[in-house]
Amino acid sequence: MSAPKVIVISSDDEKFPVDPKVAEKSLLMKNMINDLNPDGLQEDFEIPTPNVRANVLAKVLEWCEHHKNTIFPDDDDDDARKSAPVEEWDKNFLKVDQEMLYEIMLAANYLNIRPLLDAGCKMVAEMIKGKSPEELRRIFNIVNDFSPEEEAAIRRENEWAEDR
Amino acid sequence: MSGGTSVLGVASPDHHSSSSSTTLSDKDAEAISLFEKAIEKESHGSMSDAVELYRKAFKINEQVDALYRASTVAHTAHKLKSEGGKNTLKKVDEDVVRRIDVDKLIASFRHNEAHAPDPNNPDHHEEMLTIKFANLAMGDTYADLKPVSPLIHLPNDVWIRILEILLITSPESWFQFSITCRKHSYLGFGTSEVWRKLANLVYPNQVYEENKFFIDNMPLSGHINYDSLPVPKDQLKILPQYNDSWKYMLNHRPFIKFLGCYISVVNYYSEGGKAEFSSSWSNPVRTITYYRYLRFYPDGTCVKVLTSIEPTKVIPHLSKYNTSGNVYPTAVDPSNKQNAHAPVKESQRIYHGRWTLNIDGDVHVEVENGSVPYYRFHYYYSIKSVGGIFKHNKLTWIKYHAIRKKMSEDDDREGEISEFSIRNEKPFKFSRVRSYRLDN
Repeated sequence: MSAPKVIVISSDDEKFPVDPKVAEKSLLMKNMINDLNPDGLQEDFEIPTPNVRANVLAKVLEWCEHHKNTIFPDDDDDDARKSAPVEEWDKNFLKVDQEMLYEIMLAANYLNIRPLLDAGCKMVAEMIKGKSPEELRRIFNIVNDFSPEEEAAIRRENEWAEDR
Repeated sequence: MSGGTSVLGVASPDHHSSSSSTTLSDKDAEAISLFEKAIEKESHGSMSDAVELYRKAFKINEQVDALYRASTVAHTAHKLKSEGGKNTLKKVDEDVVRRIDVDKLIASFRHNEAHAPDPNNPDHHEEMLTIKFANLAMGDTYADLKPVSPLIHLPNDVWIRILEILLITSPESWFQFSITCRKHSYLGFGTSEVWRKLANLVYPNQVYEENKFFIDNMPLSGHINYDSLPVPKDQLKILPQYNDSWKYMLNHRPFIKFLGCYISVVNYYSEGGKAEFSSSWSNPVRTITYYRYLRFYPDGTCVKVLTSIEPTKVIPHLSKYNTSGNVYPTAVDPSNKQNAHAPVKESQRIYHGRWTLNIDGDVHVEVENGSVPYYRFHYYYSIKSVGGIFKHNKLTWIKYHAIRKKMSEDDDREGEISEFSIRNEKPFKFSRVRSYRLDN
């Protein structure tokens, strides 16, 4: 008999059997596995993810599979880590449309996969860098809803803080 | 003198000989180019250069100011608007702006959503009109509303992570994103996480005089207990002094900025003698411009330069890692061996110093090896804000003196203080330099 698997179930009922090691990249799943199987995994273990669709879950698990042996630092408030560029593989992995990137980030947030969420955040930050406000409005398709006075007052109050 | 701009107001339209035609003659283009250079010089404070260039420009075309306005200013305005959006260059009621309580306003945006531009609302996008008319032609009355990017719907705490990354890696982009709409201004300016991050990027890098004094007076054998420093590294311990608000702290607690340099422009006039047989009533006057540059590092070191060379040429070389010690290295002629080892000109030399800041916002810069071997130079500045808006980006002079070093065993002049006048000195202003890091 083969080693027991973790079976991750998408919101649309698709089943994804993966090695526990892969599923444990998600802190949420890791805690569930450990809490409900205090003596270790004896048989297949199902985890439903009611708000992640199958095509997104497939992507997220692909990332977990690729990084199953990667050791990520725990330190959450490390500026050096936050300013480090996105690793090449992750960058290519996240070259998807805005809709997919959004869903992957939501899933990473919900499943608590911090390194994947970080990579997503950096991708969004890259989209923003060096752009004028009007360019950003076009990229995100949003409208400037400030009155001229509001915008002037907010600029005056906050713009200085970009110099440090 | 505020450029040619003061003249612009009175130039009547019928004087615009060439503004009606869209293409400029070569001569006019040259005049405008000179005029622009003059403005540039003037903005640096190089008055004599500016006057010279203005004169040349007006000689080519006496309406160059109007010409400049008609061609360049309109173009610049268009460009600014295309970058900044609908409120750019709009006349605002200053009284209304002043009366706005920005913190309250931003807090009121807490539940605002970002909206997509409505193609049927001409206010939303100038180019949208064209789309609408195109659709009308096709028989549609209304164009479809395209939804906002799904990324906009990321939870607030995820957006705050993104904004923190921007704060660390590209502070301008943090601002540009946060000024795009009401919702984003709440995320970028209205959440304490963002200001806390900024405070933690700024204050732990300051070198406090009080801490230096504390460490210097520790018994040699003793361990330095960093928890008992007069100005703690842990910003949380300081927060209560600032109404428990990170933003309030940043507004009211002075700090030295590292991602750029401080520049002081000094103009003075020197009266020359009349030429022989001159019938002129007055002596010729020459304006002289020089610059003081200061760049600080979080390790307590700094560099200073006093030169007549303008910022664009100096800034790229202003670094403590510039081994040539020359702030304006010119290409060395390889055929001239002697030249390769020529000493750095005094007016281009980078001096290395040390700095501290005290809790009142006064800065002390000490240059051990300055331009005079037997002097140790001390500069005292105070951190101020420009116009109450640009916080902590000015250094005003408090005093400036030199103390005699011990030059021989029985040097009885050691410790003598020579005060220097700061009457002609001008405050330094901070300029952000994109290429500067904390340590490069």
